[in-house]
Amino acid sequence: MNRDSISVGKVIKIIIIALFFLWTVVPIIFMVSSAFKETGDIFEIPQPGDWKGIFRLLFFFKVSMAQFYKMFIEGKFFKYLLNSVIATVCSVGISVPLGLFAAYAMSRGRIPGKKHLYFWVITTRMAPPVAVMVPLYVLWRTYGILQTRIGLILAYTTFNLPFSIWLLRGFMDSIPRELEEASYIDGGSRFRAFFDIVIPLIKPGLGTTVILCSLFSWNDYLFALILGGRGSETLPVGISELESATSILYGQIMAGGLVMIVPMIVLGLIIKKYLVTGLTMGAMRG
Amino acid sequence: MKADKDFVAGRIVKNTPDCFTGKVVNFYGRLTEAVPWYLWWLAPAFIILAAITLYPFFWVIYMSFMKIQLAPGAPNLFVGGKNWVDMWLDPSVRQGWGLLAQYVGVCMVLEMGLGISIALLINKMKWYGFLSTVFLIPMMVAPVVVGHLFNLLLNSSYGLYAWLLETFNIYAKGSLISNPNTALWAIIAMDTWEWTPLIILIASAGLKSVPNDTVEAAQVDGSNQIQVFFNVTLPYMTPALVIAFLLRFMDNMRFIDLILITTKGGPADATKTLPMYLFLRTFRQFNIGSGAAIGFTLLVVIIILALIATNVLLKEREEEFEQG
Repeated sequence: MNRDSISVGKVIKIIIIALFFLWTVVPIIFMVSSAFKETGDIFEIPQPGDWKGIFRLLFFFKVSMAQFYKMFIEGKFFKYLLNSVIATVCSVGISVPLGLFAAYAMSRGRIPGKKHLYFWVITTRMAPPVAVMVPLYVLWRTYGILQTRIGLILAYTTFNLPFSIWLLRGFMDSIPRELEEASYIDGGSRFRAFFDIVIPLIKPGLGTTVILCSLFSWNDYLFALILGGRGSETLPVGISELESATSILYGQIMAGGLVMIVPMIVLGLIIKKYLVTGLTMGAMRG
Repeated sequence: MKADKDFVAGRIVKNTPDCFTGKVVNFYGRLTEAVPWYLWWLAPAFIILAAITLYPFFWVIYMSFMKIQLAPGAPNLFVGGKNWVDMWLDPSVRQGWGLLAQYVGVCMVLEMGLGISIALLINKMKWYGFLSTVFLIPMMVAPVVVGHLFNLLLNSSYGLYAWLLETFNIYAKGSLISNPNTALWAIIAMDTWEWTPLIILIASAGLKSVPNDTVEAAQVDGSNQIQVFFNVTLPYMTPALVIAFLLRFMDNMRFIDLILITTKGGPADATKTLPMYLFLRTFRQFNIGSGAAIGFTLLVVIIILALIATNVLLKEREEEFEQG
């Protein structure tokens, strides 16, 4: 009796996990298979109830690189890709180092009103992008950086900088001060202690921060749409432009989506071990 | 070749001495005595942050009292509290709040519930490593792509999910996205698809922090599985879950990428949540002053709700944090 009920429970458990697994994976498989099809083949779907046809649609189809050819050779996706890479790398390159220094000061300094300062940092990340878009647009126009890559980099910094301060501060708080104090006694400076002791210890946190900041700017659509405009279209904007009033080029959209997730997944896998523990450990303290 | 490099390196060092010699260091030393050290560390980040966030913040408040003229050279007009009164009287705003509450509420319940359950199920499973790797993928997909992907999946004439719904005789009246009764639910499903995995991963990390001894001790004391979960496991997971909740809650309140790509607020305003209405008001009707009033209200509400959530859910931790 007891053993039976356990195995029934196990079967139910496996069914639930399998269903959730399919729910997660099927759209991805569909996206990948659509990306490697001729445009005509994407829109061929079997009659309702024809399961074999569905397997053919997902796994056994005529592979073609037509969509990638259209995007990269005929279209301007190399330019979009370049814009995306530059905007993401530069924004992360500004946000994370500055965030590191600020987070260290927030963690170790006896700053009057630290709580309020920290609260302000966090609220800047809570602002709805739509609400701040108009003032940023006006500000960017005044500086003359509208529709440029610099403008986009700065726009991404508005949300990456507070986020990296938030995350990194949590990591710094979790490192015992005694380690640095030992370094001071040996005659080291604060910079020495920071670079020799703190940075090596928060490497997982640093990795997490870099990944998440990259993810946010890489996948951003609204900022690039409004502030980027014609001069600096990123991949998401380029992809959304494949939809016009008369047609939607789904094949290219799927191929573009694939191009977009591959680097993020590679980055994610590299630091997967730290990604989530990093996120929870870092943010828990804040 | 090597000699060349040495020579170049030597020249660089010789030509740039001033940065690191007496004068500059002394100057720096004198400055650091006068100013607390942390200001130097904070300054770069905070100057940039202030420059790009304070101005928009006050500008939004200013704009909410003005009628913004789009024609070049036309001065903006001060209209007092008109935008604010309009906001209170606007039925679309009320509807937008309602839809936003429905959207965020259902998303949070689904994502948290599913995420925690799946995390409990796959924890300690042999396949945990593989499953958690696969579950990383959806949250890496850009919302723009998710929107288009589900547009295609649900398309009534060539979508895979439309085919499934038809095969199982669940729904065969066109795309779920173009039906006003189901459009919001379709978007909720997309959001759940993309972000439940994040909750699973964070909840799993929380589960890993539960000490086995405590669970075993509770079992020896005669608690059943449900009691163990609520009295032992859940309290250990709470901090991680609060982070997951806050991250998702804030982003669900703020972002409109999915709605913008799939329905643009339609059909028949069924998905015009408040941020989406804000977008249409600002960038389609160009009523910037009114948009500013709505945007400011939205920001304040998000901040208040996030504060309440942190304070209620993390009360003990906060105290511990302040002491430490």
